[in-house]
Amino acid sequence: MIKNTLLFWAAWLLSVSLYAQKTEFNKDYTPVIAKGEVPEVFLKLSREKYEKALEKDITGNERRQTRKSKEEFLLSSNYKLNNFLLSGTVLFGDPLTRYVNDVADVILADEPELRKKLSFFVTKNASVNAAATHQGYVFINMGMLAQVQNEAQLAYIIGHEVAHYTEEHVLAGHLESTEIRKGESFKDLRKADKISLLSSYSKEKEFQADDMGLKRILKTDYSTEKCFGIFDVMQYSYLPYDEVVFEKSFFESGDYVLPDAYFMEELQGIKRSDDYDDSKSTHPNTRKRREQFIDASLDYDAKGKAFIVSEERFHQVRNMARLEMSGIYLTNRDYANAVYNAYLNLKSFPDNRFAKLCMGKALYAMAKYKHNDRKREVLPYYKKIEGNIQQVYYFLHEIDNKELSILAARYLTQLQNEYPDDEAVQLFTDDAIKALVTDHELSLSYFESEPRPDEEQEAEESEEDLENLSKYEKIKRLRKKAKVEEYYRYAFVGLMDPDSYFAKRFDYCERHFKKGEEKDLSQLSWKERIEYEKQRFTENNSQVEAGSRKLGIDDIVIVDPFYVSVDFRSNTDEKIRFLKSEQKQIDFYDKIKKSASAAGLDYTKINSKNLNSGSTSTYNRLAFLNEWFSERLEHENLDILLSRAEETKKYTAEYNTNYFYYTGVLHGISKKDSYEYYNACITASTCIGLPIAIYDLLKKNENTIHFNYLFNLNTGGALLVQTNKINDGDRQDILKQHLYDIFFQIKKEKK
Amino acid sequence: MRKVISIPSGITLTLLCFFCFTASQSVCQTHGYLGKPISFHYEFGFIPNFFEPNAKNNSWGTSNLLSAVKTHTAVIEYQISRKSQLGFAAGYTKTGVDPAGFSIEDNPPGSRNSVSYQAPFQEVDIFTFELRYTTFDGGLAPVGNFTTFKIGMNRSGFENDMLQLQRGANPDPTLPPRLRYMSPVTQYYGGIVLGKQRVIFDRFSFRYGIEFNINVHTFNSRPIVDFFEFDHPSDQEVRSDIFLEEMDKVIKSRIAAHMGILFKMGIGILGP
Repeated sequence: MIKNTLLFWAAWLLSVSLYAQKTEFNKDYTPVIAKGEVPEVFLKLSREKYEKALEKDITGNERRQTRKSKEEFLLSSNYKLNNFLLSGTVLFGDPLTRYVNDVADVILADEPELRKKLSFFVTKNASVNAAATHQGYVFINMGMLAQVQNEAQLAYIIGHEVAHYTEEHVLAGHLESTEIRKGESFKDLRKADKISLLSSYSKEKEFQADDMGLKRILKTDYSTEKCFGIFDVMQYSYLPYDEVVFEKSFFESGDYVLPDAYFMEELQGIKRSDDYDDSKSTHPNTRKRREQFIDASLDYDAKGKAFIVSEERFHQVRNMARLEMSGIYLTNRDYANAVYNAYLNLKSFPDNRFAKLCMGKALYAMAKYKHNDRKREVLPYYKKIEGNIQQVYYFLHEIDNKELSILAARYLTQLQNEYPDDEAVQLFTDDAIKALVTDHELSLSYFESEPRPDEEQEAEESEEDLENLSKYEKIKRLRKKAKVEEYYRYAFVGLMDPDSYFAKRFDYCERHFKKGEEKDLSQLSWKERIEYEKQRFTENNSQVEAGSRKLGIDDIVIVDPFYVSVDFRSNTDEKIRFLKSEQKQIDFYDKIKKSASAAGLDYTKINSKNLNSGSTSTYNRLAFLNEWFSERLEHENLDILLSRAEETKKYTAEYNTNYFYYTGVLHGISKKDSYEYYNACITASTCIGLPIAIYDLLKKNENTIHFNYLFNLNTGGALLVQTNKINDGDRQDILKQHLYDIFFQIKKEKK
Repeated sequence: MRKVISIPSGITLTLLCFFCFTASQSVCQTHGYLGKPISFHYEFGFIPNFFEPNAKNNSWGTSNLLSAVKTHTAVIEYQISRKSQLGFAAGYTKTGVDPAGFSIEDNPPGSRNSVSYQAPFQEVDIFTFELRYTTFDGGLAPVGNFTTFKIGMNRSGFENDMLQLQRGANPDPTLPPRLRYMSPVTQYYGGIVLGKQRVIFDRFSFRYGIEFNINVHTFNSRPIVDFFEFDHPSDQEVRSDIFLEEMDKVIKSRIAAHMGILFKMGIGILGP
């Protein structure tokens, strides 16, 4: 009796929790961020990691060449690992990472020592992939979590990556490829043959990892049959996580009916075979991997479980990953995928605010790109796209840019009416409506406020009578028909009452931003005209080339300055001077500090090299700001709200400033060209020029580039963009002076 | 005979006004190195002197081929824009000129044959005053590679040791030692310096570079001190006078040549 009662309550609790999840995602979704303590691996410098790795991996019995190659690998891999960990794309302590770790616990239950050496993280990356490092860090991409069909498949992926670690595939791959490259015959090979030769070794490792991954699965209660589906996931990893028809009616209502011409009658099928040519790929093709899996698992009972940790948690995590994907696509400027992914999200959670907003943002951003004639940057040509998503590509490709702007404004206005107090929705709606006024110069009267009269519809229907009409009646009829074809005039029917948000915002934009109110330049004096043009230029050009600006800003946030030193004279593949770069980066912080204080500028520095275990909030800020910056750079001078624009307010309030400064240094040493030797010889031959010739010969060919960007985080506007090209080494006095010059311009007030 | 040299001060004044105007216009952008717009420098230069390889005690490393004559300059500079400085410099150079190849032919009394005397080695003091405009290419003042454009004046005085000359012509030791010929020379020059400047400890600067000068005008100055005639028959006076004039020209041209190419290095302090 007691047992039955307990079972009942357990079932009730489960159903309640499932319901709670469902209802949670039905309403809204908040993107995941890192939680808890910052793992130790994030806190150590790559130098420390490298020194530790040397002790562990260099035995002293190796050949000199192998030892050198190993050292190079350890240095490079630790430096790159650190950069990746601090890029902000890696999550820790969040529900997704916790779940992945729990699955890893299951698959490594028999190997506790190995489990301790491994750490698992989820990364905010859309590609369907996972990776393991030599140091024992396994990264599962968000794209993979969004696509796996069950927990067993995820376990298999983990097992596969663990095998890469236990068998030291990454290091072995490096040593092998170094060996191959140094082979006598390698240089004489054609490029294709070189790739083929290098990738053949990599494929062997993949087969081995598959095999070992399967063996680990077989030790658990996971079903090999359920795992097998992972090869379908891999084969179709280039497609979205589901195949659902993209309905034209999704955007339509009333008289706002999109033309059929914007939708393909027949879509291209999904053609990719599992036996594709893998000669140039690092991984074997799916058919070969399937065959190996079948051969290895035939002797085993197909029975087993698809879920061990928790089916509910799996679905929760996968749903989260699927929702996350919309945000990731937006940040990557992959707007077609963002539209389709949000569409799929809304199929599962029709009232999810996050997915709706992502849809609105994607339409808004795509409209901006189309209007600025930069469509090709973000929208690949639809003909090569497979599956239902091709419809989205075709639609975004075909729709006129004005119509797309109207569609975005309409979608967001509807959203605004649904969530009247939502600041994020309001932010994008406002800008989408503004675009109608400023970009397309439309007025409110352009749109119909009432539904189409029936007579127009009748006129449309009675087209066959056209021949019997007089010339003037035909003209009238044609004009009416043309009006009907301008379906987008009916976009805001029911949304544009005088008291509506749309009408008020439109009116505001017309009063404040409308173009065409140009001054009569002929009436202005020469000086006034210059001033007027200059003002207009500054207003229109958000990206400002700096030189001697006076911005009058007292307080800024300096976001994780970077420093990379590259030696192109090096004979190895890796040209980056890893340890020097890291040390110089730390020194660079001191230079910033000194220069800023000399300029009297107050600043807050977000420094990835200065995190501690309690700095999770700093890590999350850094992650956001890095993502914001990388997206901002991609937009260049496009006047557009960034995909996470609504979150900036939080950060500017935290730091009590709107101004965020990004800086970095790229220092390179290159080989001397032969003409420089000739020049030196000629100079030396004049006797008097001998010291100059000696100096020239001894001096390294160094160049330094110092990047500076100052943004207003709230508006996305660039206040200062300056790239200093220094034909010299990265001398500290030169860098300090450049930094001081920047800070001086930021601080200096206009008189 | 006395001649007062007129310096075209109008040109100098115009240039000064121009530079002051530039500085006043640019002052709003001036910030200097970490807020230090003024710099004081001591520059030490050496002139590879091919003309007078045996420049005696005035030079470094004399050999039969080359001597390096020292020059000292004090400089004050002010940063007038992000990439430029304006400065004033005063310098002193001591060098030697050997007017080799010039001799006086004299007919001592009672002698039918003319006697030829070699003109002696001359020590020359050169005082320079110059205005400089420096731009930093690819960098910001005051660090990195720079190019300085300058205009200047050098005032050099040398003693034509006629006493020695005369003694050579007339070896009578009782002659009074008053036959000294002072020949001041004023030359204007324009120059360009290609160099590199660095700052250490955020305060001290170090620079080095090579300087090319060209004399834009040489005044054919005459002595401003009393010119004593030779105590010789009148026909010799003319000849001596011509000799002195010719020697003047040679020395002036050699001074100009001396100041042509200089290797310079300097240390300085930034302030305030």
